[in-house]
Amino acid sequence: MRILIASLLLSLASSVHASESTSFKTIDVYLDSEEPFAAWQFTLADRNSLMRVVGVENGESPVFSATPYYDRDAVASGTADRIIVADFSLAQREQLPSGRVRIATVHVMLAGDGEPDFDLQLVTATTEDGHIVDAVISLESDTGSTR
Amino acid sequence: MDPRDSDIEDLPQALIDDLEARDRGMTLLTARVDRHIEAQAFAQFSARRKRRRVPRAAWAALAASLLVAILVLDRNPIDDDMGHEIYADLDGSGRIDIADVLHLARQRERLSQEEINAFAMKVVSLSSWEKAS
Repeated sequence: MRILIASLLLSLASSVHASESTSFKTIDVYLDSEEPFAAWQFTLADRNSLMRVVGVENGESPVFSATPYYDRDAVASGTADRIIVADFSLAQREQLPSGRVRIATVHVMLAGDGEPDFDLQLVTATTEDGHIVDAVISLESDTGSTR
Repeated sequence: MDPRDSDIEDLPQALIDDLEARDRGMTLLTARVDRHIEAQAFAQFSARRKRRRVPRAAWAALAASLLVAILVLDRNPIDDDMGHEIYADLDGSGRIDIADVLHLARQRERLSQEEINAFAMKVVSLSSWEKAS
């Protein structure tokens, strides 16, 4: 009986502790390309399964001024433990961004005491005529940078 | 003598005979006949209720058909006027991604913004995660 009560108290304490350790972070995602890009798509996950995506906002380029495409239903329902984010622009080539550009900011909630291990993958980045550009994707967050 | 009888005697004999004949032929509704009529009426209206269930079943079948049609259309790509799929790997990269949306937006200017957005939302749906990664 003592063991049972101790187990219950331990699980209760751990659940309370877990709820207290919830935090929110912003993740800035950057695309670095020498060529101007008109479309991009990336995936973001957490290998430690601590992450829930709670929002996505656009980056710094004026031609990608609207909120990017992402699964809004999954985010709204609190089930987005990963996310696919993408956007495209029909702007002329001379208006398209190049260099290191912040393309999106992802807002996440982290549960637990552990550190997230973000897995950021570039799915594609193309020029305005659909050619794939040689680009590098990276992120910056409160917990460090990943490339 | 009942005064009414004297009045009857003043009536024409033919009318008196006719009234007496009708009086003799009056049908008496016994309790057994009443129950029989009630049973027949119940059977009649019960049959009507059964017949009304047929249209309800038809409506249910129609609703089910519409639901199936919606599910099928939702799972299958939309075709253009020529019968080609427009939500597809249009650039031949081997996967469906945002580059296909860009391709569609540039090549199919007659498509509405809603259709373009719908394609983009399919691309980023978490149900397509395995294809994207």
